[in-house]
Amino acid sequence: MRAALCCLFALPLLSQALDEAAFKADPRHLAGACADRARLLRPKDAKMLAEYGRAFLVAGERAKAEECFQQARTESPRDADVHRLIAVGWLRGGHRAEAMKAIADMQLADPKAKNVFTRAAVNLQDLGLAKEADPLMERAWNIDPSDWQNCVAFGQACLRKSRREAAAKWFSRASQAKPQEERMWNAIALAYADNGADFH
Amino acid sequence: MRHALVLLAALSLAAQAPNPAPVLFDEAFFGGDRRLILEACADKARSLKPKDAKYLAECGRAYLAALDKPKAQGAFKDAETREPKDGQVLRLIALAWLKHGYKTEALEGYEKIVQRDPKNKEAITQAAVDLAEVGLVNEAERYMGVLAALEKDDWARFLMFGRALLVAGQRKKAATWFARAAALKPNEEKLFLEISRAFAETQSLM
Repeated sequence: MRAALCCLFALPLLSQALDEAAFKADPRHLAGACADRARLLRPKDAKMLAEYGRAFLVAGERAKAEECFQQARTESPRDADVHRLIAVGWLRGGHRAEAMKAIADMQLADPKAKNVFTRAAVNLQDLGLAKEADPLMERAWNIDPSDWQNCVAFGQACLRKSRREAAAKWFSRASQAKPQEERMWNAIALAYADNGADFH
Repeated sequence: MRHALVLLAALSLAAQAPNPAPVLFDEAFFGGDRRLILEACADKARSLKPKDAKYLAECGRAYLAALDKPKAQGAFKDAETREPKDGQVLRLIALAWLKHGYKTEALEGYEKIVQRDPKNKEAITQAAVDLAEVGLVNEAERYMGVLAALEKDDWARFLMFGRALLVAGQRKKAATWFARAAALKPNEEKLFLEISRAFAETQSLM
């Protein structure tokens, strides 16, 4: 019954076209409006729910954001990446305490998720929280010291924030992990070429 | 006899010349001179995979960043000779020029994609995105026109281009492409998630 009511409420929103003028509106409002629309289309994917939460935070709708984050946690409680996405949402909204709680939840949810820990460390580093990023990255590295991709990704993030010494440490670890890997050398060269900027 | 003597002399000189010390890729090295790091890593990648045109193009980009233009041009030439009709390789070369401020070379490079690999939608879209991100909006839109002529319903690529325009601060032009994508796929949750993410991530730019 509740689901049917939700669908009924959703129908008018879904039937509204988003034209060019709509996309020229206030960006914060747009972030929330698009998240609303996306959420109504597929509300069961935990990662997407976490991302909608982030958009709601940007739009200044904290209650809706918390609701999304909670739904995401309920859908996939053991998926570390969901907790990371929630942390990123809080971090980008400037809510550090909530973000660090989500980072702690992430480590509890899946203590061996080295790739997720690395991504979270990169997120923390990018948002200026180097002190929090470093130990998390060490933890990822301790789980698998042979993973050169993670070392390069974090080294690149360090370069983006002009942390040359920290970058050197991680690139050195990457090169020790797989010295015959041409992709690794190429990635390090491009990281220095672009000062750590993401390459696509 | 004379040739043999010259050869002997050359061999003895070569024996006396000190071998260049092998690069030790340790923490101190990576904390050192950026240009040396760039050259050494690109050299190493190139020596491990000397026949891959994409690596050659990317090594060229690293050489350009190390301000070694002749070496970069050599790598680009090798790459282009190996894969003259591969839009991805041509795009990587053009991007390298673009990122290092060589606009003329970059535009010539992007044009080669349309000439030699005219149906490569991925490379054409990436060309448009690269150009939009550095503010060359008219040039970028021309490539999107080429793409739209190939595939008029490609909402994912329209979305990608709208995002690039948003990043470049071109809100009005971004709106056109977002609206075009949304009209093509009004019930696609990924589309709306991507748009909301784009606005969320670029809010500080507006």
